[in-house]
Amino acid sequence: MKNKRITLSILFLALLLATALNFITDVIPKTWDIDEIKRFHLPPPDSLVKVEYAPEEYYSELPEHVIFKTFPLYLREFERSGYLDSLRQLEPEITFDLAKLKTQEDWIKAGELVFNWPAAFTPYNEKAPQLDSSLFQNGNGKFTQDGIYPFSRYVINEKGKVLVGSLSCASCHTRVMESGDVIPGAQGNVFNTVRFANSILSGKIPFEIFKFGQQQLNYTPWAPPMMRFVPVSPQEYIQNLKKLPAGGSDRQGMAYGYPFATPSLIGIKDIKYLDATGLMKHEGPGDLMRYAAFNQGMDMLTSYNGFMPGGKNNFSSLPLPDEWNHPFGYGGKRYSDEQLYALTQYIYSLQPPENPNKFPENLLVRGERVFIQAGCVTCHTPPLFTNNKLTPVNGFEPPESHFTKYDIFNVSVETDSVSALYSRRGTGYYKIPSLRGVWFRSAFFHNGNLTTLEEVLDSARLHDNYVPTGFRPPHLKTMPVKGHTFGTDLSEADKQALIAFLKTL
Amino acid sequence: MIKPMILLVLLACLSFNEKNEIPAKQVKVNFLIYNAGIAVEGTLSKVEAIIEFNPNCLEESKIVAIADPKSINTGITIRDKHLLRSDYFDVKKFREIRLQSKSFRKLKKNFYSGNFDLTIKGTTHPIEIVFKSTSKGNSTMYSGEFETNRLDFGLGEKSPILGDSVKISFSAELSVTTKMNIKKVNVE
Repeated sequence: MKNKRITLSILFLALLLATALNFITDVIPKTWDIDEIKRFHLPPPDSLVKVEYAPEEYYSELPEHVIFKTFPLYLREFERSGYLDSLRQLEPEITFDLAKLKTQEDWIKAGELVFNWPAAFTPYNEKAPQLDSSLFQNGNGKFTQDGIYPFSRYVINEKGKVLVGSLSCASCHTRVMESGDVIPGAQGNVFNTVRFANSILSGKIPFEIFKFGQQQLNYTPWAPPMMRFVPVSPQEYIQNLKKLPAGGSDRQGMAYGYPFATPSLIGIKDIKYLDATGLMKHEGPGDLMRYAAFNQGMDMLTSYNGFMPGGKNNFSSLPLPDEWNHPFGYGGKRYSDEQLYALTQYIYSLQPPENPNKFPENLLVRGERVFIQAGCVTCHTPPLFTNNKLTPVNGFEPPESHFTKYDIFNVSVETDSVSALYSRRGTGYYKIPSLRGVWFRSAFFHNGNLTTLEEVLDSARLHDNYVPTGFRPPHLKTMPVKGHTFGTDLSEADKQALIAFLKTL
Repeated sequence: MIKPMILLVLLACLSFNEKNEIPAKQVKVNFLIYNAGIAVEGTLSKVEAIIEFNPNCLEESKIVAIADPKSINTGITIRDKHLLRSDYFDVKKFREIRLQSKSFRKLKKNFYSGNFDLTIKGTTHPIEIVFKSTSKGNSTMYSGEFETNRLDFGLGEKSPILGDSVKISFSAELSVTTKMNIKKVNVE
């Protein structure tokens, strides 16, 4: 009788577990669902622009990523002797295995694999210059204490061959602190442009081909004709790259000369819009999955007034998977819905690092009071330190229909509006960013023009003769960083208190 | 005994046929609202008032005040700009804030209660305002305060940090100069 009861209990538990697993599989949203995409993707600021997405059939026929085990990439001085040879001895190992995902913890771990899975690969080349610490001088990125460069990873998908994989989510959303500690999901700072710049300068990447890629990345059909979208010379482009601060990124869909500050993904579960321009609504894992799909290739196959940045036949039609010509070197692949779902679970699980900032209590009390009195609290409302709304930029008046569809804080803070108006990521808005974790960021304002909170509050930045410490187009010796004037007229003591308070968030 | 009283009131009302338009600089309107637990104060600097107030003839008295919402000042420029937009005062469509009296009653010496219609953003709500009227020499000062709910007038939306209630205080002075400039009009 007792044995029978135990057997029944086990059966019941097994049934429960099976139901739970089925439930997880059932709730995985469909990534490429055109109706959902139309709901979550905000339109361009010019309402006449026609946006068309790759059809569901096209997306579903793309081959899925097979995620293999990856390995750390070390700076030359830190790599133990024989490391690469040992990798060559390994059998390829598929690590993302749906059959093994039983618990929420399993999904999160699987998501970490997706997060780190490169989207672009090049064979390891013994003759190519290797990463060494000399490349990291003058603030060019960082590496960990044990010499790992987390921007890229080695991949073994065939025994005996080592690939260098890059452009994973981790590439832009990993921060190496001064201590060498790594914070996954933070505003990244590991981008190292030296070798890429050398390839362009040396002509290894022919400038005409490079310009073609820049056109794919930057051209915006509704931008005014006077706006440039490609550099005039390799030197100009290199100077642009050099001006990009740690935490800034130059990627597809931006206006040329207007990079973006990379967002932190930590705490993004509560954030209602994705991208600095609030390009995509975020109402759950399905939307974050769609965002990832877009940003890892599908936005280049979206057509804007007939211009498909990654399209063939003069940007007019969808390429076959082996015809993909993404300037970043992506292959014609997609993530499976399960991979993307796992990715969201990992991103949602990310936690901020322990905050090392310690300030006297009275300074923080004063800082919090200033935060309220200076009006910061209205937009950067606790506990998220954002009100999760979009602010229209100068030059854009929200149509009446937007007030019921989107969350709009209906005033411009008068920052530069080019990215919101004349880039493919433009919506006419900037989202109000969360101030959580500002203490581990180094690119402020949407174009990363500023690098410290002190600079944000410095009224000198509003003047024409200002030299910003962050991104500045190389042809400008000085440049005002206008708008968002909140707090710029505070006393020095109040600014100190406010900054102390902000650094505790 | 009643007849002389009626006559007195009648005489007082007959002599009350002047309309005092007070220049904006003599009308002050301040407001206070709590944001995240801390008071935010502001002003409306462009306000005009027509005061036809006779303590001895309350039933014939009238007060109308008109404020220009564009003159709002909270000390933060971008916030002020926001207050002018469609989710707050919507000044493109609604150019004035209007306070118009309907009746008055005396509470005690120098203190009165008035029933007013307050119109903001095209919405009108009745409101009772207690105010003080004191005369000194040739000038009379009117002052008082009242509270209203900004959501009743569609000023913004419910907020976890911004209070619903706005406390409004005002003062208006009728000086000798003002009285010299008054227009003679018939009070209907």
